[in-house]
Amino acid sequence: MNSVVYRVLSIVPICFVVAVVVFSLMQMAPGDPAAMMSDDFASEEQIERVRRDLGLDQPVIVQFSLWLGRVLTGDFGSSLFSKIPVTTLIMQRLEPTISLAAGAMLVAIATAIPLGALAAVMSHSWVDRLVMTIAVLGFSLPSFVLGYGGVWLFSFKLDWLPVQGYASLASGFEPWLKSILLPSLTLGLISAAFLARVTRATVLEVLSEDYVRTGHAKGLAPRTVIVLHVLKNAAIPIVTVIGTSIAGLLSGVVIVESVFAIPGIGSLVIDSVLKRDYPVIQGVILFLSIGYVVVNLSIDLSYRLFDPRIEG
Amino acid sequence: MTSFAPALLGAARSLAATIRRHPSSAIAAAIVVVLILAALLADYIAPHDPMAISGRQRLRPPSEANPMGTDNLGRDVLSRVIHGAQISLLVGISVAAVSTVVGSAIGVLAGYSRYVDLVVMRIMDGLMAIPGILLAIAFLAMFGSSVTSVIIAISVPDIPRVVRLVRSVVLSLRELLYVESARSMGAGPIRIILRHILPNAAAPILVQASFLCASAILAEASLGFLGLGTPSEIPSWGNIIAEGRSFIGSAPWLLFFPALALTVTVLAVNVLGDGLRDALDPRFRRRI
Repeated sequence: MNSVVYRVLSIVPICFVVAVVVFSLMQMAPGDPAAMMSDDFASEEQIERVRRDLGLDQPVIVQFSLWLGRVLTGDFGSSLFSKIPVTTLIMQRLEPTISLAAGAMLVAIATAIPLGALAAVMSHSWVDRLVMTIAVLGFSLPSFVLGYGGVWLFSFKLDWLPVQGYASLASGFEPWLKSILLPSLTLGLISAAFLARVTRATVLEVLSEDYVRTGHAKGLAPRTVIVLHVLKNAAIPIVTVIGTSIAGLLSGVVIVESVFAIPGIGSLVIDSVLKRDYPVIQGVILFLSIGYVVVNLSIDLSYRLFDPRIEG
Repeated sequence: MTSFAPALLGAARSLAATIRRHPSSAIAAAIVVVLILAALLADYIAPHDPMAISGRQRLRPPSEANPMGTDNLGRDVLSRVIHGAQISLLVGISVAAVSTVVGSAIGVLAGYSRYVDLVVMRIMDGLMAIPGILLAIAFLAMFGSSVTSVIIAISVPDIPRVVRLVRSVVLSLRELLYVESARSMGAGPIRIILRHILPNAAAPILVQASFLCASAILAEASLGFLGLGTPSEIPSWGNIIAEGRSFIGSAPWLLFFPALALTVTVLAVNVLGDGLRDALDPRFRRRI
């Protein structure tokens, strides 16, 4: 139980560093934040009042603790332009981003794990070489290139799928699936490349273990050995890599949302960067980074359910 | 110096052997050499001025005069793609150099001092939690886009990866007998790091640098594609693709050729990195 507490507490310094980085970026932003947060026609006194209210006249350390206090209570500030709270903006854009990220993850797992395991079992055969060649191609291919290739083929030439845009789940399952299919395949196949390499390496390592030889020696069917002994033992390192690859997936979301004009969190951050809407940029980075840390923490903690060896 | 010569010769020999055994590495190396030459000689080999606008030549499909067609302003796509190699390689090589040098320095310190390690690794964990492209985008939003800020913006998220690698190599090397004997002969930490640890850590660092170069070329193009990278008047591959994206239905060559150049380049550098690892990393050599 102690180790669980320790693991949960270990994310505190990570989140703290993320907060310091995000806060420092905002500090380095050109311009007077108080003036930017005031109305366009605000007088000097009004700007001064905003500065006092937000604590911007205090030393940096005090400003940081005030800001951190607000963030901890879920107050990420408001957009400089629309004045809508950043948390509301993020919540509005959450559905498309989660649909895309989950769809991509599904595609990546469904292709990379069977192919990576197959490449390991048949290592040094043509199957292995083919899978690994596709994998190297996969992580050399920019996601926007694969995305536009898909749009050109499936939307312009074959006319099977909508060119761009997002249909929310509320508008029905089929339009939603059609709008999310190509973006998920694009991002998923790119993420699958790295995952397939890791799966192959992990399975290769497990294949050389004594208990695998024992399994074969006692006459178990090869398929039983692979599924029950090899994949089960390779699962933890593979799941760990799935967790850490979420950071790459989130980077990919930003680009793929732009290719397919999906109004998600990635598009939100691009729009805010182009408009220099600093509180929104800050809020989104904080939200996605902490989300990533929490997902990885949950994955780490879930091992305890699957593997009785992990305890202390 | 003399101690380096046989080691260098050995590395060159095993590299040559690897090329024989892995023709893909040789092809990749040839592509990279051609790209570097194209970038260096862009002004001489590009058939047209990459910036020359021509109202009458707008959106022409590939022809003899314009092998890759022309864009919406009538500029020659081939000339733009050749000039784009300059930015891609400049950013790729600079990012690999900056993040490797900074990351190695921090990694060595972290591997050598427990106190530095405790603080530095927490900072690196935090930096790694921020999705790389978001950190780069935020950085560019604050400092504006120029080639230098693009290089820094892509390097910063890469530094923790180098730090982790170098730290783990240093931690394993410092326990080895030859380091122990150097220490017992009275060598100071700086001498041990420079003479004994860094030369032996060079192989994995070099391999990592080649992969960082590939991912930096990809990141530069992604930032250009999002309209946040190098200033739009510079013909980088990402910028050319970004400008061509609204013509995908009517003039797909605007996207196809720069995308092909980009993919082939990243692929070549990645394959070269794989080859380099096979040649330099003894742990890997044994498995083949």
